[in-house]
Amino acid sequence: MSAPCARLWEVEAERDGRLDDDARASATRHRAHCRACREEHTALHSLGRRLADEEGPAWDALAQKRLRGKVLAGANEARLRAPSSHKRVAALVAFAAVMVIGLVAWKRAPKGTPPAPIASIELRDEGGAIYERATLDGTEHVYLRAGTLGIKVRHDAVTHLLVHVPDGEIEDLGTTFHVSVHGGATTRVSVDEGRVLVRKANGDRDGRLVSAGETWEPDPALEKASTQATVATPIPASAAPTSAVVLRGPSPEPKPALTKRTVPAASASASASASATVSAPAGSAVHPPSEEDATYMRAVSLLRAGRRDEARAAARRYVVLYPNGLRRQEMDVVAE
Amino acid sequence: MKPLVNRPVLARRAPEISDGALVARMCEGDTSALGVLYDRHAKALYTFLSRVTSTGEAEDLVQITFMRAGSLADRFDPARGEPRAWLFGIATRVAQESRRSIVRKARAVFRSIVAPVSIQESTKTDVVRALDSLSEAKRVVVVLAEVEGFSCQEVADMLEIPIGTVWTRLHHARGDLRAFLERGAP
Repeated sequence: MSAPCARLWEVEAERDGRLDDDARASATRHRAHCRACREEHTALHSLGRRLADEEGPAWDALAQKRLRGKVLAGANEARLRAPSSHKRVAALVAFAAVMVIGLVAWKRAPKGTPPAPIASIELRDEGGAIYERATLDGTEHVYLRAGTLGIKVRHDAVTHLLVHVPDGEIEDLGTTFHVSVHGGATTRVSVDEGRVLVRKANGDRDGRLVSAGETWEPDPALEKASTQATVATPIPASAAPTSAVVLRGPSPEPKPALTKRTVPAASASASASASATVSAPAGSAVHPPSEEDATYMRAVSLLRAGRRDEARAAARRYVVLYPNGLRRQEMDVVAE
Repeated sequence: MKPLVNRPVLARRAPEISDGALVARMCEGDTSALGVLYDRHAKALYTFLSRVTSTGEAEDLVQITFMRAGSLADRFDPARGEPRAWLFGIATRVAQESRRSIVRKARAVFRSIVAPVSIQESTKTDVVRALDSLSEAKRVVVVLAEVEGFSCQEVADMLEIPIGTVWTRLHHARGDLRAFLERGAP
């Protein structure tokens, strides 16, 4: 087998449609001179062919016809059971009447106090917090990777706050609250004032509401049965960050083996201090968390939109946050 | 309610009619259009469902898929993709619902008693065993992309997940499959 090539990632990226026309042409030219990439291309192509050529299980022709009959009989029966147009119109009129009555009653009813709009957010490192903050399309995003972060929200402007954690997200509904993340999972969410909605990537889609004075901690039985996290909230490609801060506070816990990487000021996309030291676990997870996908996707979307400077900044953020990330090589190229 | 219309002549003209036109006819109450769609895609759907669930359930799931397609024909939007991708999207959701079904679990237990695993395993090829070794999430993505030939964007739309997740799962699925096939089936 040939020595690995730094552009090996392009082979799979091309197969998955991640390269634009220019990049694809460049990859093809490169492959003409690079044995490692040619071998990888052949291996991927062979795997695909082997999968596609695999014959499916035999399906008896008579069984197929019998099923066809069942399908058509069922479809006819369903149409016969469908309500007549008269009944449909009556149902529609009744529904419209209920909606109108409900709307009138709602407008007349005394309203509770809606959550006031947000003017500013205070973030406080309460123990080894590693996080980043960005404003996109009027929504404040805070990405908490590890440690404990205290968050206080003031209410007098229009902003929406989302705290992204490795295994889900926490949505502010008007509050002061604390979030702890350890070992790639959310371990605790406690609320001092107001309410938050905790959504786990592998849990109930509606989330768990946590009110003032309450604390949420994961259920060990559910955590053991959970699968890998899925992407939570990808950042809209059209949005641009107004500020991003990466900080690292003192960690109260014994540290695992770390790979340290000092980020020069010129390559940091943040308005933070001149230099910051970012640490990451020595081994990456088998399945990258959804936050990494979102960070990568944002850089790719900006690049495709022709916003090269912003794409470069987003790629540098990826490199800082995920030095061992799945798409590190690809992002290194974009970040240059 | 529009009257039911069965047009046997439709079958003879079938090769000239696109899948999109068939779905449009289904909206008008043309049951035979559903039959033509079945003739074109049932086998592929059966193979797909066999790979992501089990052969024993595939026939039932094919039936549910086409029944649901018949009732959802008026919601098909040609601007969002081809009918084939739409059908596979329905089949994927049907398979997911089936996996969560208690009845399905009971049937699986019954089948394992009637045909013990050792006998079933011995008839499988290396590729099938490799696919079976994947997690459900990775298997569905790799079958749709590599076997059925859908683009990553189509797969993302079908599964209602971000395309980045599709790329990630494909990457890991390919790695797992290559490792399994290189070291040989146990």
